[in-house]
Amino acid sequence: MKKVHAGIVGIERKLEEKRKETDQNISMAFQDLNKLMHQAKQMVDLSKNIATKIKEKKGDITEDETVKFKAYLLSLGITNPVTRETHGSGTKYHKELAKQLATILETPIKDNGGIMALTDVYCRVNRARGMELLSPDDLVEACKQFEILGLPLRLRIFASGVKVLELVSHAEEQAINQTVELLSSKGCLSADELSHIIGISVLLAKGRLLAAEEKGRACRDESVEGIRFFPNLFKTQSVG
Amino acid sequence: DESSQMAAPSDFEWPWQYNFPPFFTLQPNLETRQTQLEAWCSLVLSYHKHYKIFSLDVTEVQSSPLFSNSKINRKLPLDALYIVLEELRKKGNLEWLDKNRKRCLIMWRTPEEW
Repeated sequence: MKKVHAGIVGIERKLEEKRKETDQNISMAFQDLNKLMHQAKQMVDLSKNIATKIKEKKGDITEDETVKFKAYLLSLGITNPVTRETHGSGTKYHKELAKQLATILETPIKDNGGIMALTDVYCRVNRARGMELLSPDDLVEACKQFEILGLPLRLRIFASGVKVLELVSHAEEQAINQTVELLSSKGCLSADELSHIIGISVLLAKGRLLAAEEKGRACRDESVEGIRFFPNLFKTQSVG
Repeated sequence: DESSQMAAPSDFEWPWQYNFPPFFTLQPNLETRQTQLEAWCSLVLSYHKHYKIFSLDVTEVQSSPLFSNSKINRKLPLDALYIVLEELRKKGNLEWLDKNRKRCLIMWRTPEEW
């Protein structure tokens, strides 16, 4: 076939050829992707097989094999905690991450009054990193390792479901005492006011007030003006 | 005791809790709530005894000074009001007059004491 085609027919042919080429490129890309997924699927199947095998053996010690296995799963992007949980606690990656987090966060948390909401932690860590960011799941998983590794930080979940990181040395009793003292001297406080006075976030101020209430040291007044907390006079003042 | 019943109605002495805003919010802490309910029960009883009222209408009593303190602008919500009344019933100081729990008798002495 001669390539010399003048006029509109020539242009149309050229366009047609170009279209075919891109078409081929696209379908090739998808074929590769299919192959890749097929291979990954085999990996997934294999890992599930191994998971059931580990289950049969019922090992509760962190054996090297399961640690290795978890690293495999992590690189695949399959989190299969239901079957993994009993076979090695967390992953090597999360453990290393936990150590790193402890070194980064100890000072900022100390400056923050010994406690920081997990969402704040997430912002700080990822802002500092810039690249290779952490996923929320990774952060939570890493935080769960703190206590096992004996690091100076601790993940705590309040009754409201709010997760915070606190210094192990951060004594809750002391925080409650301070809160109750402030309540007595001011008469009553809202979470907002408390956060201003001691310079912590509103979320944490509320957490403190609720903790004091839970311990029976404070009581609440709910009205259209919002929730305010008072010292628990029901307990301290005699009946009459 | 007898003479106090003869006193003018304005002489009723409110307990300190009446001017304490948290008194009008049902406390979530169970231990605190129990003390709060005790105080409410004794207030309701002494109030009825003082004014020699024997019955209580739930819709009417909501606006009565007994359950709303205009000075601190607080009012006991209806659900909390029912909890107080149920507590009184358990103690034997209250008897419902209808199934819908709208009217009841307040007995500042239990039937056994009469």
